[in-house]
Amino acid sequence: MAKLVKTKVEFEGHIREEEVVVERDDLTAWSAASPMTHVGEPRPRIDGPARVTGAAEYTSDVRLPRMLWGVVKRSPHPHARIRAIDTSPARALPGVVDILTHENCGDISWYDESRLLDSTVRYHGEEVACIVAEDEQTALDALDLIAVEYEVLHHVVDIEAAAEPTAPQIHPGLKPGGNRTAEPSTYLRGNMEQGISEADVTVAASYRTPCALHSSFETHGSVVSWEADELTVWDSTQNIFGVRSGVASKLGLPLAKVRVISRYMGGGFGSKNDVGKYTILAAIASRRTGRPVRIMLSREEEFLSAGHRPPAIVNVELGAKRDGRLTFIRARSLSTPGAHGRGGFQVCGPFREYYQCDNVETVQDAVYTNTGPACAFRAPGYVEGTFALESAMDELAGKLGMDPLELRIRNHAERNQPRDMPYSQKHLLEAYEQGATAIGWKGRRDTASPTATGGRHAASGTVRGIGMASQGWGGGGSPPSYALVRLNPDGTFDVMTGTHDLGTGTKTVMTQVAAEELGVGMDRIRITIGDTLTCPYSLLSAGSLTVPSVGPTVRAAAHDAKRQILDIAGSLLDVDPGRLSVADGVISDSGDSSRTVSVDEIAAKIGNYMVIGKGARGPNPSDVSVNTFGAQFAEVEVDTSTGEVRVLRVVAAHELGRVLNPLTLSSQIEGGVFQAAGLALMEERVLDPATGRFVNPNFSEYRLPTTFDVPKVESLFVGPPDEQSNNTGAKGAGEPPIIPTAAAIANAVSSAIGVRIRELPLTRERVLAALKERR
Amino acid sequence: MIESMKSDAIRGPGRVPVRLKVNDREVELSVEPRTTLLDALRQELNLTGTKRVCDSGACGACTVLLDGEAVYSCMTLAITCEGRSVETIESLTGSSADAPALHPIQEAFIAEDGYQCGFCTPGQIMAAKSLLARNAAPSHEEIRRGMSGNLCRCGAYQKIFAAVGRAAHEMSGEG
Amino acid sequence: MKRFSFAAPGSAREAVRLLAENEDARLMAGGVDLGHEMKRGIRSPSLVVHLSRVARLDGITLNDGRLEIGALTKIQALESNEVVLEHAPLLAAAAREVATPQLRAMGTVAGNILQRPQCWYYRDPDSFCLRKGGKHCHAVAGDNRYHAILGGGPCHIVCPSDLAPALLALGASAVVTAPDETERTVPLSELFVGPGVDPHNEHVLAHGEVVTRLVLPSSAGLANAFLKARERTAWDFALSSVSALCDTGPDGAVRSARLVLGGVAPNPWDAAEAAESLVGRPLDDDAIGAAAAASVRGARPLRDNAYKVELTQRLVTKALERLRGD
Ligand SMILES: Cc1cc2nc3c(=O)[nH]c(=O)nc-3n(C[C@H](O)[C@H](O)[C@H](O)COP(=O)(O)OP(=O)(O)OC[C@H]3O[C@@H](n4cnc5c(N)ncnc54)[C@H](O)[C@@H]3O)c2cc1C
Ligand code: SF4
Ligand code: FES
Ligand code: FES
Repeated sequence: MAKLVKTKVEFEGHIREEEVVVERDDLTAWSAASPMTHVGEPRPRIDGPARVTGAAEYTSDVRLPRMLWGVVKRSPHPHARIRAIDTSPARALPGVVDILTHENCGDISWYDESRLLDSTVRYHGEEVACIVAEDEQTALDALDLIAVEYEVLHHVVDIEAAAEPTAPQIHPGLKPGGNRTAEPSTYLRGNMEQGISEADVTVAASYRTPCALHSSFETHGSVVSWEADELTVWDSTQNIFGVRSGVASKLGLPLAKVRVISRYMGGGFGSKNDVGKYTILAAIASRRTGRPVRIMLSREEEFLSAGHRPPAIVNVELGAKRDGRLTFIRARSLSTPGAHGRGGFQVCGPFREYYQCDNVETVQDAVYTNTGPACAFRAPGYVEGTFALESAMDELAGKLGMDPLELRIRNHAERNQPRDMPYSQKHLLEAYEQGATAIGWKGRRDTASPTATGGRHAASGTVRGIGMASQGWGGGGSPPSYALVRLNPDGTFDVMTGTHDLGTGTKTVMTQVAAEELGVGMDRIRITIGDTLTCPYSLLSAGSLTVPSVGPTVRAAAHDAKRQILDIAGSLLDVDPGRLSVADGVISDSGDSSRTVSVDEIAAKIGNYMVIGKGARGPNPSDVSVNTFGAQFAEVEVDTSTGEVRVLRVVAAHELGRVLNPLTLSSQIEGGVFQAAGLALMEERVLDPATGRFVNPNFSEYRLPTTFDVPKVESLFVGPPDEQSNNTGAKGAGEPPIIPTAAAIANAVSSAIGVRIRELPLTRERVLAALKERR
Repeated sequence: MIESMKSDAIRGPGRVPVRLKVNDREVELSVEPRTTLLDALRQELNLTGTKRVCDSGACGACTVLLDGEAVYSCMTLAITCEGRSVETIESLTGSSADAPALHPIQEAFIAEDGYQCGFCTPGQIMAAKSLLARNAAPSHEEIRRGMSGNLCRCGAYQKIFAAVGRAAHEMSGEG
Repeated sequence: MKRFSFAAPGSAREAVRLLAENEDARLMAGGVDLGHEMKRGIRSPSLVVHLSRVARLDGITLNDGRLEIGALTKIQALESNEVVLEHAPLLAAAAREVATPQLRAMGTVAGNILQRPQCWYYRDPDSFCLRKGGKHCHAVAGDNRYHAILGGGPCHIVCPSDLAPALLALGASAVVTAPDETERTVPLSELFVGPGVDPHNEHVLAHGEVVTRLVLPSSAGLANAFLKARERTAWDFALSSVSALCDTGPDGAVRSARLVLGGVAPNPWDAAEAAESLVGRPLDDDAIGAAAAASVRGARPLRDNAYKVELTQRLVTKALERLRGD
C-alpha cells in the first residue's frame, strides 16, 4: 500500500530526510533463528558459465548490423580555448561518416557550467570532437587528421596551488580567491575550546592520499540504436535508470522513448553512476547518420576522463585525556572535484562518527583544478578520511603509550553522534576482538622486532609489523526499489528488477532470496536485471545499496507471489491459506501434513492466468541508524635495506548483518582489500608539474596490484542479522572492506619501522626516507 | 610457392589474406598488416570472449594460446600468425550449444568464485591453461608466478589461485 | 597505429637488404616494444621487417666454453635452459625478473636489450622531446622520479632492460650482420651509447644492421646475483637493478668482479670502479660498504629521484652480501 512517509535516504555518507511515497513493508525480518535453505549458503554464481566461457555479452561486445564505430578527440592541454577546428581532411577520409564538434552538436549543457562539447577545455583529455566511421581503425586514422588550433590558457593542477588567491581561475564567475567550488562545508558539535583545554595529550598532523583511478576492466562506453524515435542504449553502467533520465533530459526525449540495458558489465566501482558524454555523442551521431553507433573509451581515455578518487589533504588534530578518552577532534580536508562538478565527498565523515567525542569540528573544502572530473570511487571520502583519522589515532596511542586497539576500544561510540540516534546494532567490539585474535595482536610486539637479518651489514634485514584500523559506513540501503515475480505455467518463476550486477553477484544473491521466500529451488528461478524496459525501477548499484535495498524488495515481491499462490492452494485444498507453507516446491498444511499440493500443480492448473507478485522496498527505520562496522588488521614485512613493503596478511572483520552468500561476500571483501592495498602501496596518478598533463594514463605506469602484491585475506563476518535494517537483515558490503585497509597497512608499516609515513602510496622513496629518519 | 607467400614479398599496407588456425578451424583473414590478433579475433571473427582492456601488454585480459603458448593478442600482429594455431576461450567449451561442457578450469573458476565482473576471466583461464600444461601440479608460489601476467582489478586473486589449484587437482584425475 | 607494409624474409641477409632499401623500415623481433611504439604513434615505419622466418636465429648452444644465444631466442627460454642455468645463471636470474610469463614468451633477447626507453615523455605521443628530435628534455622540468641518476644529460632516460646489464656483466658481445652483409662482433661494452654522445639512439647499430646472436663466455661456478627494485613485485621495470658477478680465490679474496646497474643510467651502467675496489680483498662488510658507495659515485640526481642513489647503494650491498653467501 503506497503512502507518503518521511524516510532517511543515505548515500555515500550523505544523509537526507526525504518525503517520499513508499510502500509499507509488512514482512518481519528473517531472524537469526529462521531456518534457511538458500540464503546464507555459499552458492556459486548462476551466471558463472556465461562468464567463464566468454559468452557473456558485455556492452563492448555488442555488435549491431550497420553499426558505426565512434572515437573521441580530446584536448592535449589542461586549459585552452579552441580557436578553430578543421575537420575537412578527416571528413575526406573514405569510411568516415560523420564528425561532431562544438559547432554542430547542439547546445547541450554539462556539469552546469559547460557544454557537451565546449569551446573551452579545462583538463587534459576533455572532449573536443567525435568521429564515427565504418570501422574503428578508420575512425582512429581520422583522429589524427582533425586539426585543432588552441589558445593555451594558464592552468593549475595541484590542489594547494589552486587554492591560492593568485591561482589561474578555472571557471568564470567563481568567487575570486582560489577556485573554491563552494563555501567549505563545516560541522561542529560541542565546544572546541573546552575540548582543547581538557586534553592532556594532543597530536596534530597532515595526511595525504593520492589520486587513484578506478581502472574498471571494461571501460566506459555505449552502443546506441534508434528505431524511429525510440532510443536503445547498451551501456556499461551501474545506474540504468539514471542513465535513462540523463539521456532523456540531455536529448529532450520522453523517458518512455529511452531504453537502457546493462546485462553484463566489467566493473564500475562507483565510476559508472552517471550518463556519459560518449553516450550522448553516440546518440547524436546515430540520429544524424541513421545507423547504430558504438563508442567505448580506450584505456587512456578512461584514465583521462572517466573519473577517479581525487587527491586529498587532511589536517588532523586530536586531543585526549591520559586514559585515552578523546576530548576533541578537529579535521580540515582539502580536495578537488577536478575541473567540473561539485566534489562533495565526505572526507571528514569518519571524524564525526567513528569515536565517542563531545567536541568535534570538521571543515571540508574543495577547489577546482585543471584535472579530469572526479567521481565516486568505492567509499568516496571515507577511504581518504579513514587513512587520516586512523593514522592519527595510532600516533595518539604512541604518545599516550597505549595499545592502539585499546585506545579505540576506550573511545567506542555507542550512538550515532552526528545523527543523534542509536544504531540499529553495532558489533564493532566483537570485530576488534575476533580480528585481534586471528592476526595475533597480543604477540605483535615480538613481531615488530627484526626477523631474519639479511646479513651482518646494518642496512639489511626485514622487519615485520602489525597494524589495524576501524571502519564505519552506511550500508543500510533505502527505497525506492521495486521487483516483480511472475509464476509461469510450468512452475518456474521470472524475477525482474532494474538493478545491476557489477561483478558483485547480485543476480545470484537475489535468486537465493527469491528461492528462499518462494520455497522453491534456485534452478526454478530466472532473474532479469539491467533493463529499464522490462524491469521495474531499482536504485543505482552504488553506495553499498544493492543488497539492503533490492534484497528486501525481491523478498517482498516473492512474498506477494507466494501469498497469491497460497491463496489458490487454500481454496484447492480447502484450508485457511494462513496454515499453508511452501518448502521444496511443495505446499503443505501445517495442521495436516498429508494435505499437499505442489507449486507446479498450481501453476499448471491456473495456466496463463498469471500470478504476479509485486514488491517494494519499505522505508528505513526512523529512530535508529543502520550502519556497517568493521576492523581490519594487517601484517606487513618491510625490507629495511631496499624499502620494499609486502603485505603478508589482512584479517578483515566486518559487521554486515546477514550474510546472504559467504562465497560472493568474501569475494567482495577480498576485492576491497586488494584495491586498497594498491592505494596504499603503488597507485597514483602523476601530473606533469610543468605542463599539467597526466603522464601515466596506462597500466604500465599506473600500477595495479599483481598476483605477487596481494596479501592473504581472511574474512570474518561479525554479528547477527540486523533485523531492524530491512526484511532480510543484510547490509551493504561493497564499500566497507576498502575503507580501513590502507590505514591498517600504514599503521603496520609504522609499527614495523618505528617511523610514521603520512602520505600514500608507500613508495620506495617514502619508505627509504622514513628509514633514514629512524637512523 | 605462390607469389604473395614468397618470404621476401612485401605485403600490405592494405588488407592482405592471412591464413591461420583458430580454435582448430582453418580461417582466412583479410586484414591490414597493422591489425592485431586481438582485433582480428574480436572484429573480424566476432570471437568477443577475448577482451581488450589495456591494449598495451599490461593487463593480460587478451591472453590467448599461440601454438600452445600464452601470449598477449593485443601485442601480436595477426599477420605474424600466418600458418600458426590460435586458441581462444571459445575453444574450451564443448561444441553442443544447449549443453556446453565446461573445461575443468572453467568449472573450477565457478566453484571457487574465481572472478567478479568476469572481464579478466577469459584471459585468466587461458593463462591457467598454459600454466597447467607446463606444470600439472603447481605449488601456491608457482601459481602466483604462473598467473602473474594477468591482472584482476576486481581483486579475485585469492580465489583465482584456489581455482587454478582446484583445476590442477581435477585434471590430474584425483578429483 | 599508422599503416605499414610487412615482410617476413627467410634469411638475415634478405632482412638486411630490405632494411637497406627502405630508409624508414624497422626490424621487428617479438614486436612487443616496437609494437608499443607504433601503437602510440612514436614510430611509424612504412615497412616492418619481421624476423620470425629467418632460420637459425634462435636457440642456445655451447661452443668451446662460449655460449651462443640466437637473437630471436625467447626470454622465457633463458629462464630454464640447462646450458644457461649452468653457464650463465646470472642471465637466467635476470630473465626470471622480466615482465610476465606472456611477455617472456613473446619478447626476444635482442629485442629486450635493444628496447627503447620507457621515459613517460618519450612514450607520450604528444610530447616532442629531445630524444624524438625536439629541443628539450621534458624530464628536467617535469616529473623525473624514474629518470637517471648517473650518466644523464642532456637526456635522462634509464636502461629499461633487465637482460642488458646482466649480459654486460657477463662480458657478452653481439654478432651483427651489416648492410654490406659482413659480420662484425660488438662487445656490449661498446654497443650502448649515452645521450652525451647521441641523444637520439641508445646503441651504435646503424640502420639495417641486424643482431643475429649474442656470445658470452661461460661463467659457470662464479658467484652471482641479480637484484631488482621496483614499485610492485612483478610486471614492472627496474627502479634500480644490480647484476653482480664475482670470482673468489681459495683464500677468500676476490679475484675479479663485475657490477652492472640497470634502471639508473641511460645505458647499462658498468660500475667498474666499485667492482675493482673489491679485487684482492675478502668480501667483508668494509669492502662491501666501500663498493656500494663507489657504485654511485658521481651520481647527479634530478629533483625527484635522489632516493635512487640510496636505493642503489643498498641493492649493491645486498647483492654483494648474497655473493658472500649470507
Ligand atoms: C608492460 C611491460 C612490462 C615490461 N617489463 C619489463 C621488465 O621488467 N624488464 C625488461 O627487461 N623488459 C620489460 N619489458 C620489455 C619487454 O621485455 C620488451 O619489450 C621485449 O623484450 C622486447 O622484445 P621484442 O623481441 O618484442 O622486441 P621488438 O619490439 O621486436 O624490438 C625491440 C627493438 O629492438 C630492435 N630489434 C629487435 N631485434 C633486433 C635484432 N635482431 N637486431 C637489431 N635490432 C633488433 C627493434 O627494431 C626494436 O627497435 C616490458 C614490456 C611491457 C610491455
Ligand atoms: S629523458 Fe630523454 S626521452 Fe625522456 S623527455 Fe628527456 S629527452 Fe625525452
Ligand atoms: S589487452 Fe592485451 S595485455 Fe591488456
Ligand atoms: S573479475 Fe573483474 S577484473 Fe577480474
